[in-house]
Amino acid sequence: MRARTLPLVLALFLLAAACGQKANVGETVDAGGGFGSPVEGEAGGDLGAGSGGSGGASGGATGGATGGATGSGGTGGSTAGGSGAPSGGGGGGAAAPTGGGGGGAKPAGDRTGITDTEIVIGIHAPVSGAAPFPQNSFSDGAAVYWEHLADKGGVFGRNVKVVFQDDEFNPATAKRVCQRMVEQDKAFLLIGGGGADQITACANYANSVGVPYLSAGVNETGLANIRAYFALSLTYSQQSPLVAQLAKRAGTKVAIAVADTGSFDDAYASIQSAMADVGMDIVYKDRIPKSASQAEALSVANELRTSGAEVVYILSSPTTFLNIASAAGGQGYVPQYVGPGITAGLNLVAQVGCPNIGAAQFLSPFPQLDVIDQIDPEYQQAYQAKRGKAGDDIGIALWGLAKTLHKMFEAAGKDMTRQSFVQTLESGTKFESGVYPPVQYSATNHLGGQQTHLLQADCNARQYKTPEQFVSGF
Amino acid sequence: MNDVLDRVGRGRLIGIGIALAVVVLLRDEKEALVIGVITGLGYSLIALGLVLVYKSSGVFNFAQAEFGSVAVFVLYLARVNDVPYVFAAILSIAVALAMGWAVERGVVRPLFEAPRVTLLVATAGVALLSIGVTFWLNDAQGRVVDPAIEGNAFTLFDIIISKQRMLIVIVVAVISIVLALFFNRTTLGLAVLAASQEPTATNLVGISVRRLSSLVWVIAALLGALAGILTGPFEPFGPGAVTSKFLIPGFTAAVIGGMGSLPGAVLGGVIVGVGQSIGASGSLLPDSVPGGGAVVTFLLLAVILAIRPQGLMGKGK
Repeated sequence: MRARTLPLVLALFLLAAACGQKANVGETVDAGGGFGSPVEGEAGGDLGAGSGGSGGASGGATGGATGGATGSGGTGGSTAGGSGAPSGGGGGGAAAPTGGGGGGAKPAGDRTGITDTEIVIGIHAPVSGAAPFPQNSFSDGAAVYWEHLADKGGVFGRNVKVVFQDDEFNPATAKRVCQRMVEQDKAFLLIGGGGADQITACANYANSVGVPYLSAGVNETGLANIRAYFALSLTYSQQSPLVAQLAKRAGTKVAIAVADTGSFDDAYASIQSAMADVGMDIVYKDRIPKSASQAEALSVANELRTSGAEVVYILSSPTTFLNIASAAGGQGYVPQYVGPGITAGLNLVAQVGCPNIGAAQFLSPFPQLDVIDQIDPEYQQAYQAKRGKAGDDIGIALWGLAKTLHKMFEAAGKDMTRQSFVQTLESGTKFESGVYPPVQYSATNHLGGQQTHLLQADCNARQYKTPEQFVSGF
Repeated sequence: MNDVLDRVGRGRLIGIGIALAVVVLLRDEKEALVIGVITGLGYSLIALGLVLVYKSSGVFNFAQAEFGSVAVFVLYLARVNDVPYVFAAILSIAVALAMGWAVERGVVRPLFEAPRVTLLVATAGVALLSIGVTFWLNDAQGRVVDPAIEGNAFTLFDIIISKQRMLIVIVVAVISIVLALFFNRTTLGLAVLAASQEPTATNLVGISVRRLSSLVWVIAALLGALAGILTGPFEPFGPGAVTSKFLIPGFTAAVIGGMGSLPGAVLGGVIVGVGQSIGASGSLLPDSVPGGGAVVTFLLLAVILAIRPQGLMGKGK
């Protein structure tokens, strides 16, 4: 009996382990304090209050800063906000960022995470699991900008405290650490550092509890209709036409390899259209394992090689990209890799992946170390001053993100609430940090990226360079 | 009666195996077959270690692949400090052997009389501790280690077979023969088998069951270490790399082969490798099915266990 049952029990365990946790499984959708959808215009109580509050809060940002004390933003907000609809609520909110006013009583709304001296924000990223990230880069870099800013007076006199959590490249873990940052650390808002499934899981959770959530652009599936979510750069689908133009430079035969997660469905469809639009011959297209074993990596690499593709579009975790590139390199095949992404263009990928990744080109919301001194000389100075060493590219990503967020905080005003923060972003204001490309949102569009940087691997130096900056076409 | 059923089951599986081979060849999946075999042998090494421990003590050793993770990490550290490859490999194996011995003395032996499930959980704890320690020492940063032998050996069905891959083939072959001889032709090997089946009687005839346990764990650690240092150069690795990539396929291979069968572990590893390779090639399943490699592998597992619950080469009761 024992010999028959033990293998079966073990087989069931293996099956359960292999299935894993998919994005959004078990999500609680929109609890009482949630934001809902920007398109559907959900009315929730918090949102109504937020719309009302936005006038005052945002008014405080501009009018308050210049001493204005008689504006009517707060009043307008409170009445317009009653309608509750995201677009309709714009009455108060839309007027707020430019409306002067403010200065009156603090608006109603959720100010969790904000005190007179501090704003708490939470960041999660896949330190382990997805990529060869050194944890110190995240922990060192996460607060450099805010510490630098504190020396200059902070955000309306407040310092920003950053709470960082490793989501282990696992959507279930991402949701758990986000919940911890919201409930225990009292984060005012959450930021996703990378990993589409984790960002989707956490953004949905954040939306359900009315917490603003920002990340560099990833998938649109599962995110585009979330009111709390704002993309800080172009989504993968928005990048598809640019990547196709990039691929066109390198050849005519293209292979499309996209990780088999549902989060990438929109990117998989859009890149095929974009490649066809520029006249590329798609010689291979397939979904590849999200976490490829050696057998799977070698199998995919062999299919890419035998397809005759000169250019390979790849959208996967850096680890899977490296494994496939390594397997392909072992077969003597080093095509021109191109792709969108946040993390594939990190120097660690070049350090570990060269020479197998060749002159890989990836779009990126942040530039690389070779141009950061021209773009933003303060970065290395601040990093050196705060950490006693030169900053790396993960630090640039975090610096640029923080700088954009700072612009948003300033626009939302001294008395911002979670609701007024969202309203401010939806107001149409353009946020330019000078590191990340500018973003601009509306009440119905939270995917506000407009430009990108181009990174290219230099395997002689084993790092990425930034041949083109702030581009919107090739 | 059982023997008859055993033969019938085995006959069905042979038939299914032949049918699958024909399908693979007709669908022009020769490359997938080659890839599956050369990568599956890595799983075989882990499966051999799992079977060895299970055979001797009935324990599912969740720390088996961690011996490989530790070994490849030590190999990396030695190589970046300019230690010649041979000495670096010996050092990495020695550290893994020491770890195997320490796990047996520190974890397994104190729990010798405990239920097997307690030991199972304990070995999982060892794996987690090991991953934590290497994470602490190494950070999550990915590393690359060089192969024992550079260059390519030959090309088979348009697949380039590197010399390192051939080294794995040779090592698995040698290990299989040595283990077969050990268990079938040596007194010590028979003592290990006796200790697993009748520990009390084995003790009564003057053989120390506990000392045999140490020996088995050290051999298992050697197998894990070999898996780590031989397969590590094929892709970047980080903390727990061998566990995350090889443990579940290794367990699957061991179950397919029959948890008590060493030849079955080798065969199971190859089957898992071929299953993953064919599933990932995309010609068998539509795009809409994610994780094709895992799907095909677990279909094979389910079919094999349905026909032969004791595994391909396991012995039925």
